[in-house]
Amino acid sequence: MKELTTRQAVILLTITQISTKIHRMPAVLSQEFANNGWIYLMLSLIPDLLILLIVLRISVLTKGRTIYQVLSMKVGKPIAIIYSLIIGLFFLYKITTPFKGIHEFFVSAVFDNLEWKYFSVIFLLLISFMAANGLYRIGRTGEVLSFFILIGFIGVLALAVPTARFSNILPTEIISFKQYSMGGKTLTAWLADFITVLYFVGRVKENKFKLSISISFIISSLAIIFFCITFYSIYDNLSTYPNVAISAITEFSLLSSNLGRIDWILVLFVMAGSVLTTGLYAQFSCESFHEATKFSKKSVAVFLVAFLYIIDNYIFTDSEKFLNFAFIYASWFVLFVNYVLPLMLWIILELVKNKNPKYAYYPYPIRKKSYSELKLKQWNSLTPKQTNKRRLIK
Amino acid sequence: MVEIKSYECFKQKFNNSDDFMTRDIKLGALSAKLAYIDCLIDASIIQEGVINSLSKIKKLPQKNILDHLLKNTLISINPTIKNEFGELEHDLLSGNCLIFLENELNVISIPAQGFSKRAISEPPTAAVLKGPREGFIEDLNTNISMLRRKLKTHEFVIKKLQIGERSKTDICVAYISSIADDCVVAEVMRRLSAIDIDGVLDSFYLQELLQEKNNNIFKQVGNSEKPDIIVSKLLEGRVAVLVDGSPIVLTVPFLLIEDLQSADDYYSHSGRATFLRIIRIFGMIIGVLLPGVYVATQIFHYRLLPINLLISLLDSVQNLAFPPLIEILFVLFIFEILNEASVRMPKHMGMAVSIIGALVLGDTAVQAGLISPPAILVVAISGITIYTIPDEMGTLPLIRLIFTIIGGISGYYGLLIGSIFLVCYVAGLQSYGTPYLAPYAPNIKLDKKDALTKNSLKSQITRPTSIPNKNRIRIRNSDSQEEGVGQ
Repeated sequence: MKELTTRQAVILLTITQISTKIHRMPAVLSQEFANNGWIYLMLSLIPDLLILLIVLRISVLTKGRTIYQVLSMKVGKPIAIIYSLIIGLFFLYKITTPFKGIHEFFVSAVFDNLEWKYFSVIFLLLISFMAANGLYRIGRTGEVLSFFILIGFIGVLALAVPTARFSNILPTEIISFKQYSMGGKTLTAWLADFITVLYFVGRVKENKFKLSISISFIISSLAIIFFCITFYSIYDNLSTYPNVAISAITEFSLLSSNLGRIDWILVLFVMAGSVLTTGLYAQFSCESFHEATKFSKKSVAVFLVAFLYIIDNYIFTDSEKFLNFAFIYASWFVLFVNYVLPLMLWIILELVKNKNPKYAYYPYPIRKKSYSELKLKQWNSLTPKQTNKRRLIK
Repeated sequence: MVEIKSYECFKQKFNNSDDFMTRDIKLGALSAKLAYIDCLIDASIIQEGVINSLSKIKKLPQKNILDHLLKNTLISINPTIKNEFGELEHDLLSGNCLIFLENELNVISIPAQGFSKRAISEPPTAAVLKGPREGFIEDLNTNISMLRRKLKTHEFVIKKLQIGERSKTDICVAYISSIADDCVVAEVMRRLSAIDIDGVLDSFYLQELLQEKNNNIFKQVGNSEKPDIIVSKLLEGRVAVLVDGSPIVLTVPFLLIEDLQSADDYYSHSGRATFLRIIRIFGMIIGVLLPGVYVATQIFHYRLLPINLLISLLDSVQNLAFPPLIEILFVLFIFEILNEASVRMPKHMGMAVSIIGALVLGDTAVQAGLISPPAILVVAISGITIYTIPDEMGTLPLIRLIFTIIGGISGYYGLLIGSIFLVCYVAGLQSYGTPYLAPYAPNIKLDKKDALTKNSLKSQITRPTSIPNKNRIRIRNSDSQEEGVGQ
């Protein structure tokens, strides 16, 4: 089902790229690499782009179908179900990153005293609404919000850049391969957004899809690198401390000192992207579990919401606990999904590309009938008695 | 007097109602009855066109009496012959007079409508500085004639039907056959045919029934009182629904962006039209969010304000009796009451309401410490800005109230979540298969030429693609570049 246009996919990818990395990631990166964190981000672009190329090759091999559909048809339903469960779990884990970021922003920066336990219910209601509804709805919301998110992000950078001292980011030491690989393990919660592209495969109307996605991936990665450079330039040795980089970055701007924290309005615009990303990941997770289990989307969404509520309020009560979990337990799973799964899928799909479908029927129709076609069919199927229920004079 | 069976049957059906009038006529040797509803006919037509003509008859042929009457005596007044009770009842109640002949089952129906109707005038809800000033009235035929005068083509089609078990209201579905999508027309007809209601008194009855979701607070059916607007929408491929007795014509499919467009935009420079549309959308956002932002800032986020403004604000609110949320809700409540009263009151008392509302109530309430001047300012700005989009007056104040409460309870956090929820909800709506937020979500590049921005008419070569239509080209001239078509 082609639920997204290429433009919507590009916008969603850009929003997810930016809005997940503006909270805690710069500080965590600084703990690993000091102010050389931005160099690590640039280096990580190389393997990420390679995997992105593999994902784009997968999109060619699937010929307009989702990976679940292709796996069901050519490899077997059990494999497709396992794939959906893995992706569902992966995005369930990924939800927590922007979710914790939003939590920290509102609890520590914006409010003096916020009872998050109760307020998170409102947030989770929105997430469940997005998860239970179609991807097209999130795509369209992204199109509307992209203007505000872009204004917010550019505005924040414009406020922050005058206070930055770019001499602070000069490389202090060479990043060794060991450091690099360990960094990859630490930052799994934030990097490798090409899995989002993997999910888009078969759900986007193909129109310059590959080129647009590649360009947006590179541009949004560069935007985040510039954001981190500005952040390290401002905070220098203290850059490991701010938990919410997006609000900390404008704290010392001249405008803020003269006009109060007017920059919060811009930060809130960017934060809308984080909320949307959370909703998008919830939708991915919900859809994947729905594919694997055939439970209704609404019941899966309710389960997700309850699960997130428990995780956020009772298990990972603060970000440190979540990060510990991410570093120690989840990182291997995420590394597998980020880097190994696309490779495996590529090899499998290359091997079975000429194989006939295992099932005579497709699990989903290739092309959904348009609204007009359905309505005309419905109208034509009425009996003369029904159509003449109200007499037409002419 | 000879008994005429069909007439007697008819009279019984009308329960001998006092306005059911009858006249006995002699057509030579033949008896006849003339029946009509007193207040619906023009007496001069009955007298001069019917009675005078019939009284001149001295002798009738033995056979084909009805044909003889239609072709010789009553030819000038467009009579028809009918025999079905439902049709005759409808004709009689529409202002026709019926002639029942002795020993004849068929009845002659003659149009003799004569009820008074309002003169065509400028509609109060859509006044313009430039451009046509005529507006629809309550008479269906007059409204159709206004459309016909602007669309001199055989492709302009009118389909008539009746809705209402008791009101039997005439409804017209109007569209341009070579432009409007057949499926949309079929869907409109299907939905209208499915309506089973006892009476339709205004087009707003149908507006609700034509919507896809009944409990939706956003309207999904457009409306206008101006023929030029309706014609422009028909030319874009929309379908119009006219209701007898209502000056408001409905159009489908409907997009949210239509409410940001005004008739004035098309009769002024495109740059100015763009500027005004941007002003309107900002007006809408400010009008809906300002009270909520004010309350949230005052309760939770006072650090947002510059220090001088914060001191000034604290000075104004320090002796208030109520917390900020209650205060702003109180002012909004007063504002809505004044608004409602000024609409309902006789015009000559409007000035008195303004004086009482603005001076006495406002000033006294501030002095009594019930409300603060910033709260009045915020509500006044919000109230005025919302009026930049009068067509959304049913929805926006309700959303404003919800956002004010959310802002007072959960600050910017709630406003952010609420705004995203609203956008997400609206983004999923559609009207007859057309996305509600088109051409922005989903993005349709060609349609943006006349959306929030308005390009010159010369560049609008194609009709909006978001509205299903059969004929995409709108302008053909030597300068037009059709490169954009089909993108």
